Amino acid sequence: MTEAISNIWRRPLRTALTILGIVIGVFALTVMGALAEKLNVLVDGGDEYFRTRIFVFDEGAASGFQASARPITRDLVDEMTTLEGVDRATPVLQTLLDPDEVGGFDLPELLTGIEPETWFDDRVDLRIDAGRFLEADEEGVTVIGADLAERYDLRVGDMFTMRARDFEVIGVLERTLTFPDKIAYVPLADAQQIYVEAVPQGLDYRTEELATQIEVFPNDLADADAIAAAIEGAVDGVRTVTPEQVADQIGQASIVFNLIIVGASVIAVIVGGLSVINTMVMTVSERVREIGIKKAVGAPTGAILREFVIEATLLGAIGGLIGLGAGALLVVVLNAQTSGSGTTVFLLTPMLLLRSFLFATILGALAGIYPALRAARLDPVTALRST
Amino acid sequence: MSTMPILEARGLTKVYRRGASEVRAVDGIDLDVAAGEFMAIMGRSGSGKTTLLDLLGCLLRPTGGELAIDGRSVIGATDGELATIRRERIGFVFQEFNLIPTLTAIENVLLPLRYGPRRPDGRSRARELLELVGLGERAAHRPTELSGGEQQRVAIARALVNEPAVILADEPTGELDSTTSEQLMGTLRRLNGDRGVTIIIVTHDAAIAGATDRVVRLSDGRVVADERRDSRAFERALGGVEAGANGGGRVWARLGDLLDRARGASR
Repeated sequence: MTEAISNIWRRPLRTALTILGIVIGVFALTVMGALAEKLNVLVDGGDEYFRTRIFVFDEGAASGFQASARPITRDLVDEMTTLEGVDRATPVLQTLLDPDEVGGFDLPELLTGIEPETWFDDRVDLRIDAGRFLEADEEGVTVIGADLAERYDLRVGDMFTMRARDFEVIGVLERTLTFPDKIAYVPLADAQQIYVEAVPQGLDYRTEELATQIEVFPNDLADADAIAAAIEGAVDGVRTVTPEQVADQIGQASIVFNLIIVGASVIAVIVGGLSVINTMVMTVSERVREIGIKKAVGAPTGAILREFVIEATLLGAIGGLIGLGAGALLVVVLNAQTSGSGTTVFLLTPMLLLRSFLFATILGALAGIYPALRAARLDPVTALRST
Repeated sequence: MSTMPILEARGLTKVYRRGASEVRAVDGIDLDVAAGEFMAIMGRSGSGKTTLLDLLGCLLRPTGGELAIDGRSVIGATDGELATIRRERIGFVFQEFNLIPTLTAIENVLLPLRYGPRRPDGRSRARELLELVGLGERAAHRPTELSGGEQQRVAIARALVNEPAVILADEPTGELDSTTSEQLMGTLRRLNGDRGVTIIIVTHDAAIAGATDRVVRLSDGRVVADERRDSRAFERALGGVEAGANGGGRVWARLGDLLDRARGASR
């Protein structure tokens, strides 16, 4: 090991350049990885958050979660509730918290009107960090996600102005790392008012009947597909999105981001791996005579192989550590710069750091095998008498 | 002295093929080397002496013939077994010293031990050997900080560290000036005389060969002469005196040395 260390410093410039190759690869891997890690948490959390229920939208709503403002009647909700296997159905009106800010890279901030008595139960996995959750027949109050609390510097008891209306913050949610962090939950009636005021020419519907979706909670999630089909059969003009479909949509986003990681890894393999192979091949050809000496004094093939693989592994590990450090530093700095707006783009996890390091180390080892085999297979006499 | 030879070659042959032609670098050599011998293999360049040394040292596989070390045939041994034989039974000393430049003197001496079973006394033994060759003070120096003669003495200590059956030295004084050469030969002679180390030196230098007890001459890959200078027989004839007087052997060895030098000088 000490010999391996002193060996890699025999050619400091070349070693530095080789390590730089790995550093670049691992740097990219770490930064991309932190990006994907964050997105995966959003996606997984979103998955969990949405996976408890069936969403029923107006048929005309183009896709998933666009506000379509279909009028609901109690009848409609009741009709769904009576279907086989349905626990309950509840109207929800969801709109952007600030219509001018659609939310770029991160999730959008949402204003979500709910009927707390029918919406909130144990299966909706939201925990209160401070204060309490909404109760039936309240108005002018809100429970906000952790990101909103941080971004607008809000505590329980503060007033929060949304869409030109004042709400008293009565609760702050625990951080979920996904959608609810950026949601302000308000009583449905308040959301309906806001919605109506935003439509200048007025609507044909009665205000208290407005909703963007009805959320249907099945008794058993396994029956969700059958229940969704039953809803579409029983109620005209609606489209359902099952937990399974939500998962699929979310999964697609996940695939894209994970492809980014794979891409970064491939680049790292090519850049880092080739530079290690190149360096080690040169190293072996420079040290042919030393290999001959070692063979002459009785080093078995395996020992020579091991010495060179260790050297290559060391290059990988050093490059990995530096790349990891540089990547982590960038991520921390960027996160610190954007955290003021309540948005962080990257998430560093110990697993990601460990993975990047192991990746570089294993890459070094693998890249070292071919040059090491060349070294180990040298004929002792030829190696010894080479100049 | 053991009657069983340490090295025993019968019809040892190495043929190199270059295209259609073949070169019989070593061509059917018979050779017995007994424990405690101090001998030289002489010949002009191209006579096959280095190839013979490589064969005896198990660096090279013969194309024909038989070779036994310590009475055990090495023909048909695997690469790994040959490496073990080189590590445990053979010590090499090369013309170009061949130390590993990144290792200190003592680390170079320890090199063969690295590849064998762990020896707790390895470091103290290496130190002792460096002292034996007069480099006790230089254990922590790297090869570039040592003179040629010092480097070669480190190489000798390295060759001895595993207590080999035989030391094979390929032109060990080839890169040294005459004074240093003489000192180095003195060291080898002392190892042979005091410790009974078997030494085979390949050289084209008659003075070096003359300092040994036996000279095998090669030409075109064959033994053309095998001369024993019987300084030891002379000693043995006076064996009674040697055994009786404590340390007498050393006196006679030194006398032999002087005779050798005188002869070497007269050639």
